[in-house]
Formats: sequence, structure tokens, C-alpha cells
Amino acid sequence: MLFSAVQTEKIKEEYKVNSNEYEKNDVAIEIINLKKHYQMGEIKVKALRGSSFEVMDGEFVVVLGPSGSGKSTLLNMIGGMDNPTEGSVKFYNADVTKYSEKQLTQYRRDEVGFVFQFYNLMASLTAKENVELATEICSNPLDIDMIMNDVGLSERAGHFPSQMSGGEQQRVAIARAVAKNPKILLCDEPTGALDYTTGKKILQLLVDVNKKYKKTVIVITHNAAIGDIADKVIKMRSGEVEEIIENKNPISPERVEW
Amino acid sequence: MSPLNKRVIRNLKKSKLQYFAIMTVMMVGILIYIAMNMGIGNFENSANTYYEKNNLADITAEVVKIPINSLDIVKHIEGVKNVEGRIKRDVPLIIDGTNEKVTVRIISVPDNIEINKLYEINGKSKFNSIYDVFVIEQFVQGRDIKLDDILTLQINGKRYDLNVVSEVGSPEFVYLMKDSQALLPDFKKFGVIYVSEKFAKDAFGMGNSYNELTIDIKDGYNPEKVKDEVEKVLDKYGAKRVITRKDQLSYMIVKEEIKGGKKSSSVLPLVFLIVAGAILTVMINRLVKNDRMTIGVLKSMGYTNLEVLIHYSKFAVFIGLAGSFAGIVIGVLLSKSFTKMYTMYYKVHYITVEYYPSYLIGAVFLSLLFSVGAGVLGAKNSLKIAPAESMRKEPPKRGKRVLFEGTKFWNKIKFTDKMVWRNLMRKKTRVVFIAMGVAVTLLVVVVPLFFFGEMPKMFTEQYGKTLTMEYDINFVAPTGMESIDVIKDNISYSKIEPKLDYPFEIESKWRSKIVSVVGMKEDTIMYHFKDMEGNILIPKKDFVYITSGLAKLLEVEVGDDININNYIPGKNDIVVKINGIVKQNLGSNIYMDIDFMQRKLVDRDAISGVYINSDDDVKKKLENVYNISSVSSLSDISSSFKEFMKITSASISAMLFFGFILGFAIMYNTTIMTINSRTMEFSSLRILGMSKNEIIGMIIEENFIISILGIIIGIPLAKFSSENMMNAFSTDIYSFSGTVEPKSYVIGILITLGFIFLAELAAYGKIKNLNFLDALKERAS
Repeated sequence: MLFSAVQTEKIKEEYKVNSNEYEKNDVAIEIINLKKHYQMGEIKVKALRGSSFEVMDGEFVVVLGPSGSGKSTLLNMIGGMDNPTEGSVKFYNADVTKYSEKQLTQYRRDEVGFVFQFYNLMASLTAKENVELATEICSNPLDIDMIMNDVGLSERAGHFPSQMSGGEQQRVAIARAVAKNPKILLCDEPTGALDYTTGKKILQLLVDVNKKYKKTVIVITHNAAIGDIADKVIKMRSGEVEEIIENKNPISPERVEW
Repeated sequence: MSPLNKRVIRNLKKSKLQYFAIMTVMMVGILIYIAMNMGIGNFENSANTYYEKNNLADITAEVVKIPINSLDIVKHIEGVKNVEGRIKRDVPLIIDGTNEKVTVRIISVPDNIEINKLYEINGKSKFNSIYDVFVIEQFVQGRDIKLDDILTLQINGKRYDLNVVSEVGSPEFVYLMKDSQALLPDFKKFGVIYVSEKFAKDAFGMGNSYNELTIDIKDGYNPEKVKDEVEKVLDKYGAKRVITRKDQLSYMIVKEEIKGGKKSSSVLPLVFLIVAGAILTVMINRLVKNDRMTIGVLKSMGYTNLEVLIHYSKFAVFIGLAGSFAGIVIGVLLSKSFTKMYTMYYKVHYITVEYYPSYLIGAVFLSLLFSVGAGVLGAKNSLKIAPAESMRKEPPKRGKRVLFEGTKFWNKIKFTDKMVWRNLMRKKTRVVFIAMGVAVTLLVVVVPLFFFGEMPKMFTEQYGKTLTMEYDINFVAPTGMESIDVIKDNISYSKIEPKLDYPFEIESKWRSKIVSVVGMKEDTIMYHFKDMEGNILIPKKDFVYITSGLAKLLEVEVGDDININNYIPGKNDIVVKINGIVKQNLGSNIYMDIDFMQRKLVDRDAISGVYINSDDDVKKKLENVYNISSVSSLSDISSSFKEFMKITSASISAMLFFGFILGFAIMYNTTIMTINSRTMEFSSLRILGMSKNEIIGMIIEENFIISILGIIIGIPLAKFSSENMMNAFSTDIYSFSGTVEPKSYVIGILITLGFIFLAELAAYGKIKNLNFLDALKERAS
């Protein structure tokens, strides 16, 4: 543990030098002509073909598109999980695509929270321990009990994923992402594995997180109806941004129908 | 505790049997390391303490006769600290009513003995009468002698009844053997009796003389150099044989046993640790492969590569440390028994049982080395997993047509058989992994079986093929050829041949060793020599053969000269040329033409015994022949051999037992690992409508084919390992040099198949209880 703590400090130092700390800016994420090509088995996939857009600080953004439109690839780029073939991703003006491997790790550690479609919880850890897993390594975590309470799982904190419903598991996943106190929350089809009612509850939770904790939230989904709750909807098709819609009057997730 | 550490512990619990199996292998490796090293260490220390406290002679010199007042001359040799004289002679023990030939060595004890001091076990510490005797402990046990028993000895034709007053041990006879020619111990047939100087002088008519000196040398002096000086000085007293401690029979055997034990204790633990390390590596590797998504999630949260690597390495380190801890505890407990086992055969006193911190540290270091190594090697693939890539499903590998596809054979076989063959052909790494598991299992079972098979073979090669006598008769002292006629007159025989067997120091350059030189007739009918290639050697006039082990030790070949140092008064050292190297696994000898040996080394006409083949009651009929010291039948020698090999036999039995553990652990783990990595595949098959039994049937069929492949790989592997491990079990006294018998392979294969069957049973339970739907849904572990 001592070793990893020392290492973390080193990474943070390097990370600070390179990013010059964040400049206060309204633009949280700036995507500039982003392209990503990768090999999948014997097939070359052109997942992103030159997308550009901006996400403002504190915005709730929905990236909408059918399967294979490049949504997840885009999310991975924003989250520092992957490098683009071309173009850049700027996070509060710092070019994430120029980060070293260590800086990217530190970026994921402190600035980004991920929520996955299939929750991806550790089966052998309880709900609370899954959250602790994330807070243990970041520099400024939130209070875990408070987060567990906010996601409505105080009573279930000691339960294992196998003892929880899909909705509850996704709540744990959201708590895990939020507890790190990241600037941005990236959600990959967060309702994709849930039923209608539970899905809506999860969306409400994400909206609450966006409002209460002032987090920038980016949700990717193929479900067009979800776009109605967002401040901004970015429609994608075949690896390109098809349309960007500013939504002046987002509705409450309760009113969304699909 | 951090959540990741909790995950390690809970996941270990989940697959406890599998990890337990590896932990057991690790534990056995450490256990052997600790028990053997500490056991041997304690035995060695006890032996050294015994030698030191009871002052084992640095030099022992046999002479014809040396007056008491001449001892001072020896005492004044530079480097000599102390000298004691004694009278030593082998005489027959009379056992009324039996035909047993029992020899006892009478050794006189000075009043204030300083060298080769006796260790009092039971009874009085002083002689009250000149007929009081002390008896060596092995002989007491061998013949069940009690205090106050009367032993009747025949000395110079006169019977003496001697009263046993004490049971003693001697550093000189930690391992009791009559002489190097005897090769094997027999505590019923040979013993040592200590008598007062007065009795010895009177009985043997030695007056104020001795026939043996024991010498203690000062610290810092080279025993060999002092020995050379002693030889020169004693020449005029008829020096027969002057030896330093390293050539003293019992001392040499003890040192050889320690050497052999140390060799085994360094090889065996490594075998287990390497196997445990290999299984752990593969297991962690599989875990990392299965945890692809989990690793992606960890990295998405900001865990560094190193943190992920350390997390997965902890599985291995935990197993390593748990195995090490259990191994240390059991090893320390067993080390005491190990030392005790040695002291059952080697009569050492002042037994000290210590727990050496160096071995404890070594055990922890070894287990950490292998477990950390296995962890890092197994988990290093986690570094390669890019976070984004891990979130995508692995692309399916492109299916290719397999070898037989499209042939008539292919079209005829069942659908499930086709699946089996496709699996085998497409998953070559998995096939090789399991096949190697089978091969290593076969290896660990066949190697000890090979050694078990070799032990009796070693005996039958020596006493059935090379030397084809039925009785080995030895005279009290070398005698003339006419002694054969006495034997011929007493018994009927089919074959009879004289022998001359005498110890000499054999020297080549700076290497030397005291061995028994055996003379036999040029047209010998009892000896059938073969060279290293198995070709028959036909002795020619004045032939000189050397046994393979001795040739290796002295680094000599056919055509080389060797010196034979002769201590017989009036006889000179000679240089002879080697005519042949004889393959011999039991003992080291020089064989030569008896006529040549008599002329050059001993006395014309001298013989030390005869070999006989006879259906007669040889023992009974020769019991009254006065100059015979021993009559050993083949079965006597065989039982002595078994006794002699008991420690080696016990070590090999332990090796076989541990081999079983190892074999099962390998097969169990390889099978379970394969099942675990295929749950998704099996779940899909279940969804497609295949029954559990059909899936299990497929696994059995697959494993059967892989097992055959494993056995094919395992046979040469087992052969290679057996033949390379022979050195670890060989000593100066005996060596292994055979090849693995087909029987060992057959038994090994059957045992391996048994393990596979047991592992299949475990796999059956795993598949039966597998929740197929959950397996399909599973996204992280």
C-alpha cells in the first residue's frame, strides 16, 4: 500500500505540471475532430470519423445514437480510457489526448466517474466496499455513507451484488462513480439493462447528482426518449455527430415515456 | 482492510479447493526443504558433536607390533597431539547349539582412554575383572545381549567366557561394518567388544605391545601430511594400514549419507516449488484472462497497472505464504522425526535438535520467490489490457476447418465428437497446457517408481549377474590355497573359486581412496564383468579392472596408470594399468588377476576366502572349520542390503507419497481451471439444448484424448528426469544407473489416469452445480 501511495503522489505531481491545473472555463469538454479506428479481430472498425462538439460545465448531456454509431468509443475517449487516432479531447482546456499513461491514470482517478450498462460491480465485495474501492485511491472523495444514503442504499450497504436487483446494482455503480467526487460523470447506457420503472428512477438519480453535486453528466443511450431530460442532445450516426440540439426546457425523468 | 484485499480473500475462499491443492504442493516443497535440511543439519551437528566430545581419532594406524615405549616416537612427530595404543583382533564368537558364524572385534581399552572415547549407555563404566567386557550398542541390539550375559570367544584356540558389564557406543562405529569389503552391515554377525588391556595382552600374547595406534593431531595441521610422517615412522613396526579420519569406514559412510541427504534436500523441494509455481502462474494467468472486464473497471477508476498487477499477484503470494507457513510448521515438527530416523541406523549420541533460523528464512524466501514470480508472470498480461479494449467483448476467433473436416471419417462421427475435435484443434494452448499437466503428473509418479525398481535391480545385477556365487566364505585372515581343500572336504559343491580380498589405497594424481581390491582367477567362473556399454569383458592374464564409480571419482580411463599403495610389511607400492571399466552400482572396487595380486601385493598363494555354489548345508557343515570368519548366503546378503537401503527406501517412499499429492494437485487444478474458463461456452451449449451429461461426456472425451497426448509427452520426460535425478540419490557406496522399466511406466500411467478420473469427478460436480444463466449474465467477478 505504501508503494502505491508513493506512486500516486508521483503521478499527481507529474499530472499537475502537465495540465497546469484547470483553468476556470465554462467549457468542460471540448471534442475537436475526433477520429478512432481500431482492429477488432480481422475487421478494421472506424468507430469515430471526425466528431466535434462542446460540453459545458455542469451540463447534463445525452449522446444519442443507434448501436455502432461510436457512442461508447466517444465516451472512452472523454474518460481517458482510449487514445484517438486523430483529433483531441480537451478537459477544461487541458488536452487529455496528450496525456502520458500516468497522467491518464490520474485523470481517471480524480476527474472522471464511470457508470456502465451492466454495472460492473465486484461480485465478491459488498455495495459499500464497491464504493470504497473507488474512493480509496482518489484525492478528494465524498463521504461514502452520505452517498449511499443519497442513492437510497443505506440499508443495503452490506449486501453483495448477487443479493441486489439490477436497479440497486446500478445505484451502487452510480454511488461508486459519484463518491470519487469527479468533475464529470460518464454513463454508458445506464438504463440499458433495466426495466422501464427502474430505468426512470436511475435517470432521476443521475439528474439529482447533476443538480446536487454540480457534476457534468454525459449519458450515452440509444433510447431517444431520454434526450428530453438533457440540457443538450448530441445525435450520432456512423461515427459522426449528426446533430446537436440545445434543450432549453429539459423535462423531469418522471415524465419521460418510452 | 482495503476492498481489493477483501476481494482476494473472498475469491480465494470461493475456489478454496483449487487453491488448497496448490497450497498443498507449495507446503510439501517447503516441508521437505525444512524437514530434510533441519533433519540432516541436526544429524550432522550431532555426529560432529559426538566426534568432537568423544575425540574420534584423526589417524588410525594398523601395525604388526609396536612396543609401548615406542609410542613416544610417534608422539614426537610434528603435529601429533596424542597417541594411544590398543590391541585389535577379530575372533569368532562361540554360540553353542547353532551353526552361526559370528565375528567379534576385540579392542583393548586403556584405563584413561582419551581417543575414540566410549559413550556409556547402560552398565558399569569400569572393568572390575579382566573378564569384564563392554559391548557395542548395535551388537547388543542385534543379538539381544543383556548385562551380565556371558559371551564365549575363541582366541588362539582357547575359549574365554566374558561377562558383559556395559553397553557402549563409539564414535568409531557410528555405522557398524566389519570392513569395506563387507559392504553391508549385519549387527547379528559382527560386533565390537571392548576389553581391558591386560586381558588383550594375555589372550593374544602381545606382551607390552600394541597392533594399532589411534592418533590425535594438533589443530591447524594437515592430517594427510601428518599421516605420511606417521607411515614413515611406523614402517619399521610393520605398518599395515594408516588412514586419516576421512577414510575411516564409519565416518566415511556417515559423511556420504549426509552428502546424499543434502543433495536430495536441494533437488526435491525445488521440484515441488517449480510445479507449484507453474500451476500458480497458469492459474493467475487464467484469472486475469477471465477478469478482463474487472481489470477494465479497475483501470477506469484510476487504478494503475502496477496496482492491478499487485492485486493479482497477491493471490499467488497468499497461497505461497500460507503454504510456506504450513510447510514450516509441519517441516519443523517432522525434522525431529527425520533426525530420529537417521539415528536409528547411525548410532550418534548427543542429539541436538535445533531450529535453524537460516532455513526458516530460506523457506520464506523460496516460497516468496516462487509465489511472487508466479504472481507477476501470471498477472503480467493484466498490464497489456487497455481499459477501453477490456470494456469491449473479445472478438471471436475465426473458425478454421480442422484437419479431418470434410473427410469420410468426419462425416461419419457424431455431432458432439465433431465439437470435441474442433475444440482440440482450435484451442491448442489449452490442449498443450493440460497435456503438460498429465505429462508432469506421469513424471512425478514414474520417477520414484523408477528408483523403487532400481534398488532390487542394483542388488540382482551385483549378486546375480556380475557375481554368481551362492555362498561367500571369508577366512579369519588371508591363508594359503590349501584352505580350499579343507572346504572341499567338508561340503559337496557345484562350483568353487578362491578370492583374495584386501583393502588398499588407490591413488591417481592427487585423488585417492581406500577400496577393496579383489583378486580372482583369470578364467573366473563366478564373476561376469560388463563394461559401461553392456559388452562382456573377458579377463586376460594380469588384468586390472576398475569399477565405474571409482573410475569417475579418480578421473581415470582405460589405459591410465593408478598407484596401489601397499601397507603390508615387506611389500611395495605398485603402479598398474587399467584394462577395463566395470559397470557396478554397489560399492567401489578394483578387480585383478589373483595370481598377479598374490605376486605383487600380498603373498604367493594367499587367499582371503572362497565363493561357492552348493546345494549342501554349507553353514552347518563349515561351522567347525576354525579359520572361517563368516559364511554368508545370498539371502543373508540380500536382507543386509534391504536393511542398508532402508533410509533411501524411506526417502523414495516419501517421494512417491508426495508425488501422489503433486500429481493429484496438477490434474485437479488443470481440469478445474479449464472448466472455469469455459463456463460461458458450456452455458451456451446448455441454452442450445445439450444435457449436462452430454457436456460432461464431451469433456471426458476431450480430456481422454489430451491425456493420451500428455502420456506420450510424459514418457520421455519421465525417462529424462529419472535418469538425471540418479545423481541426487547416488553416493560413493551405491549409485543408480539404470533405465526406466516398462512396468514403471504402466503403473505410472494407471496412477495418472486414476488422478484424471478423480479430477473428472470434481469437474462433474462443478458442472452439475453450474448456474448456466448466471454464468451467461456475469459481467464482473
